[in-house]
Amino acid sequence: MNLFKRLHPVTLAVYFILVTGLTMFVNQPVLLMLSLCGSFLFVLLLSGRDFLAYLPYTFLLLLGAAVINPMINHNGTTILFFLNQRAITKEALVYGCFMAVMLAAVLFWFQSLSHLMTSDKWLFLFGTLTPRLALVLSMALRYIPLFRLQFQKITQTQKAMGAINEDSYRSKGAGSLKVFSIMVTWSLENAIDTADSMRARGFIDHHRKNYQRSRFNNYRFRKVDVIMLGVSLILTGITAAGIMSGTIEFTYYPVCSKLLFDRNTMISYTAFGILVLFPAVMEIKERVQWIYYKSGM
Amino acid sequence: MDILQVRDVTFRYPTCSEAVLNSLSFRITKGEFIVLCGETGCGKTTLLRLLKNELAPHGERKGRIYFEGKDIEEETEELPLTQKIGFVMQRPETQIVTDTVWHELAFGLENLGLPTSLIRRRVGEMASYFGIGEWFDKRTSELSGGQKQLLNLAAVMVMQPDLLILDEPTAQLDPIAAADFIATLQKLNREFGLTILLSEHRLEDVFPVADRIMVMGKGELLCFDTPGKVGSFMNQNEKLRLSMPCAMRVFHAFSYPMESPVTVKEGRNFIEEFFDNKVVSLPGQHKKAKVRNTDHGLRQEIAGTIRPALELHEVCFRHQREEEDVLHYTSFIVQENEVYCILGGNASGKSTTLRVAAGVLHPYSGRVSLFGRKLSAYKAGSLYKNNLAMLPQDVQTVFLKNTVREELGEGYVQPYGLDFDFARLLDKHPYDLSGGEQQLCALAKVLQQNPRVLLLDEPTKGIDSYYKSRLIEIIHQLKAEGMTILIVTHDLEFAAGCSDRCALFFHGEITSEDAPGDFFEGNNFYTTAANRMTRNLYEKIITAEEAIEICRLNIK
Repeated sequence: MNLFKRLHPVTLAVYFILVTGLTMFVNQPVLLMLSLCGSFLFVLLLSGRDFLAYLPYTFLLLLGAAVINPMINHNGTTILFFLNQRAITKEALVYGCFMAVMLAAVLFWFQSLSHLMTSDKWLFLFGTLTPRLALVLSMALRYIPLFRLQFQKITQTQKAMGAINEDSYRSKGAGSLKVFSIMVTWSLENAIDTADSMRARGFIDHHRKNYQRSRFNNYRFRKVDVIMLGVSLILTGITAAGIMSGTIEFTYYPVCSKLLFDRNTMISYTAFGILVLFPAVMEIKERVQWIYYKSGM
Repeated sequence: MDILQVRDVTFRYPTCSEAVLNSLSFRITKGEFIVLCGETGCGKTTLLRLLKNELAPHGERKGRIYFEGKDIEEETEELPLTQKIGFVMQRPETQIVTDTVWHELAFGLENLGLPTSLIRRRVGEMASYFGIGEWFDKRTSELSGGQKQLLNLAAVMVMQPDLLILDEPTAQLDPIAAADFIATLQKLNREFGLTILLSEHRLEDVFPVADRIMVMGKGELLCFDTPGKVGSFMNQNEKLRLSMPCAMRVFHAFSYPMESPVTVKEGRNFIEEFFDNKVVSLPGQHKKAKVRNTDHGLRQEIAGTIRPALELHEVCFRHQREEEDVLHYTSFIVQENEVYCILGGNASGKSTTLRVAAGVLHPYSGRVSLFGRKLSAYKAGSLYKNNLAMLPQDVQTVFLKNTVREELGEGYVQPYGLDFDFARLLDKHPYDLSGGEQQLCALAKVLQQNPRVLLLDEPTKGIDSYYKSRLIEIIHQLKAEGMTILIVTHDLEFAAGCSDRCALFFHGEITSEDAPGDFFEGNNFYTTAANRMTRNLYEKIITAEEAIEICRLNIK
């Protein structure tokens, strides 16, 4: 029960490119706030407690980002106070705050993306560009946990044999080096077996006439993907039109411009609002729906 | 109709002067289930690989191999043959190519260039048949050994082969997963008429399902006949005799003019028919058991005077904070100069117990002590010198060097109790040794720590019956030398053969412990083949040797 998890990787990728793209390049307070709300709610719904646990650190980072701008940037006309004979201006502070908002929003979008875009989906996207690379990546992803586990096992064994002791960093390092050298041999051994297994199942690595390897994937491009793509592009278009025409333009220096909430600007704000809040709203809607279904059972 | 025909095949590796295979000839009919057995190094793998062109080793080959009437070499440039002969190898991990289960299943079909819709259909079909549906979306690294091997089988079966060749596919699996795997093969054979050629050294499970057994020795075909008839050939070779199913071993210890029983049921009927049950238990063993019993009873009374070698006291351990306890208030005592075997199901936490006992993993509560001192009291590596040593499950992890000679050290002195000739292995790479050789070589290395307490984790994994019996002898010798040994194993026959006390580990704790005779007699399901065969006829018979002995006393 999660619309975004069910989407085709291409739809997902396009949506995130549009949203993060707009967020990064449109330096407009209302849009940034909307983006922040949408991304924050979405990532909170997706990862819950894990996300909250890291939130204080994220907040500190952003606070830093917000404070740094007025320290190094002294543009602006409204002087708040002087620090080391340098003017700290309101405009620079506002700009810094919205930079932090932008950073936070992008960060949250990427966090939710990492929840949704599993390595399978990444591989599929890469694979459309280059099938060979996709296979190599898939094999690498298979191999990394295997390598790590074996490394761990050898280290444990060698520790119990007294060959590696962790009394000092130096002996620990020397031990790791020894384990690493045997891991090379081990990897080569494994590679031979894997290559055999590939050949036994008809993998041919040289080019042969009339031979085309096909590529299987689990994803289907459904109607919901078409709608999702269409709507996202239209909403982005409306927002972009607002930016291009200058109706929602906002300048920070030398004086912060006034925010307008007339009909023209409201169209852009609403379009962007729907675009960024949509995932969170869908997530909430589906949860409520699920409770309703369950109670109906 | 013959699906496979091998005519006068001789094979020699480029670097060897002697041929590995010597003018081998045989035919396999469509739909047969053939088991290939023979001692390690007799050329089984070479033969199987020659049958699959893509995997054929380099070397000098004479003779011809026909698959469905066509020479397999003539068809090398065409794909269909790849599809028709499936091949599954020994190690579950290394055969897996991709990162997810669904991709692995599709891999072979992608190579055939099939369209997505057809791949989806075949993969779906295969996944449902093998019961893979539940872990279809998982990463391949998250699977258990048994699941991995089942995936390898399914990934070959999606290509719809006519002949399936398997090279010791269950060697790295625990007995339960191995039996499941064999049952799946049997199902494929019975329901689809799939021709199967399987090499194996654990024969108890495969003999009952095989149509014919191919026995190889030193590159020659010794015998190729039904399971009931090959026994007399195998019985002549000491190494092969040990690998026969228990019923056959008992049968061939005597000479009755009939076909040999193969299964436990047949073995039981055979004993009921041809032997009395006047002598119910072995005289020597009865006494032994009595002593053990009093030992056991006394243990609590004079706990103060008997020195426990290794003790776990209310130990709790978990891998991650959010996870369940793997060890939950686990307590047991291994006494000095005792061989203590912990048995238990798959993933029950036996291995974890051993690693906690070895001080490699640290419990979050409870105490582990060695000779009365906490493990942490042994400072600066003194724990692993002259005190405690562990042989891990994956013995390859013991080796760090390029030759056995370097591994064991120049001027290597064989420890007392390890009666094995390493001379011919010295210049090999440890990874090139057979499973049994690796095990003994790793044991030799571990024994250089001169331990008083030795911990063994699944020592019989991937080794054949001959090495298993050698290992039992070695354990007896080490015990005679005064060593205390703690073994964790799935292998009931092995535990029955070497231990002083057996314990069942279940749900994070030791649920029962006893001398092996009582332990297996008390279990109804979790017991050895010999015990199942003689249950209610004789008492406390747990190994094939004991079964033979008691039958001798009861000859009609």
